[in-house]
Amino acid sequence: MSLRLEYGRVGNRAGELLPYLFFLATWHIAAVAVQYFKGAPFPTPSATFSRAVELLAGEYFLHHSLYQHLFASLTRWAIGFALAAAVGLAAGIITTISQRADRLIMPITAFLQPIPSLAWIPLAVLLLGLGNQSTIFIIFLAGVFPIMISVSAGIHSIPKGLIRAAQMMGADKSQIFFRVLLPGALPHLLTGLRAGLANGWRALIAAEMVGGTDLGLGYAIFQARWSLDYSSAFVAMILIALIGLLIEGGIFRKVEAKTVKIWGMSNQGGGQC
Amino acid sequence: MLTIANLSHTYRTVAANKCLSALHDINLTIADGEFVCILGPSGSGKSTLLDIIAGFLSPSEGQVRLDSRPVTRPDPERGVVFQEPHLFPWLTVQENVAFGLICQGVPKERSKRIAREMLELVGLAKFSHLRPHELSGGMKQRVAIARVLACDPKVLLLDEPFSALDAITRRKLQDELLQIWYRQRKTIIFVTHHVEEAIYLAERIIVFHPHPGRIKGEVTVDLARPRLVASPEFQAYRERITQLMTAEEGC
Repeated sequence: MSLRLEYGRVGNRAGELLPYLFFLATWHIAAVAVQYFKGAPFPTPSATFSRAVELLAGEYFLHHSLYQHLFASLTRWAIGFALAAAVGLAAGIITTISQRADRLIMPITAFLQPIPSLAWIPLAVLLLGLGNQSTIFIIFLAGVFPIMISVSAGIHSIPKGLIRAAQMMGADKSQIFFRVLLPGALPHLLTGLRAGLANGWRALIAAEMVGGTDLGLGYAIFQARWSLDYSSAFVAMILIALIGLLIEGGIFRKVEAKTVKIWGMSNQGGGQC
Repeated sequence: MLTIANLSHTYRTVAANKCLSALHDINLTIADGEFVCILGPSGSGKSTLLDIIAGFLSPSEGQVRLDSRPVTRPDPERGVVFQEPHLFPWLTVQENVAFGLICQGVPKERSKRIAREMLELVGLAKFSHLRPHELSGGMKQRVAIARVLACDPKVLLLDEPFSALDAITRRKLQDELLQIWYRQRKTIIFVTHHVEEAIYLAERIIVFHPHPGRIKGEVTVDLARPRLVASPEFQAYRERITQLMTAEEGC
């Protein structure tokens, strides 16, 4: 029995690696084919890897190190997301407190939300000029709507009975807000923050490509087409994917494991009580 | 003393946009320490009445008074146990029981001690660190009772609290509730649609009639405790109350 178990585990681990191996193999074949048929410098996985080692060692790339590009992108992302979270939380909470605000804000949100954040770039450049501010504005727009909607949906999803229970035990309005509504909305809120963060990250990279900055991962990827430095661009792309995974696994999974999972509220967005 | 005077309640339905009368001219006086069951079929407004006594709803007409002060909003002096437990999933069992005390500004250590005592009382001391989703239905309702008792209310309002439980658990919780009542002599108003439950528990049963909800009659249950469901006296009460509930209005 134990042998079979052991074998199964090894099999599973190999199974987990399989998609990555498949991906690398496909990439390698595609790279070789493109180089052969089109004569274009499409980097292979191994070329990308050796370039990654150089860049991680601090070699410059478009006048800056990889770390400087990364840091510039992360800073914009953090500022844009922080603004989106602050405004989204506040607006979402206001819509649940005031019906009038709900009727004012929600239709506007419903109208603006489907617009891809990149479509705002011309407006952002018109209002804020080329550079950091426009990029941050785009990240803000990418994050603010999902966060706002999730707060509002989260608070609305709380069973009336929970609020009544708090009232009959003597909770005042602010206690109901902080001790019932906020924790009760957390499962939805996490979903919204996650979407806002991911949207922001994607929008950031795209906004950097057109936003007139001279630093950042998106800028670096886009500029690589002039210098034909595709392997650097690939390194930047992989870095972007890794950052995404790190945020998901390092922050959201951990927060969830400490909150909604042990509360028994993690099955879906809503809270069953 | 709890008095309900000339109380009527109408509400507007969202779907049909019609005014419906949920309660019509309710008059009722409940003495301190009394165990009263409000018995009626669904639609008889008994839960609406409980919501009004709790202060969740204000009646269209009339008033509820507790010790001559009018009831205007929810207050820990009137503790409610709902049909569903409505515990806070993010708090442990003990934190759920201490919730009311913390909200009322009772120091942390004291709230903790009282919460532990209450959990002892309902036999859940061992489970104080668990979260509600780890408990069975009966255990959840015990926590719901304990958190209300922690606030030391004058009146306990229970809205079909055991209706979702299996028969054995229900009987156990009924007995525990009676034990608590013997010991603490709080006024208990217990809403149910279950004739046997009402006879088993109550000193006095108020029978409600639906559409609009109104009082059809009341029965004082004069049976020694513990009451035996199978006894002929119990069956006689059941007969009498069932007849009262099903009788057509004499008009």
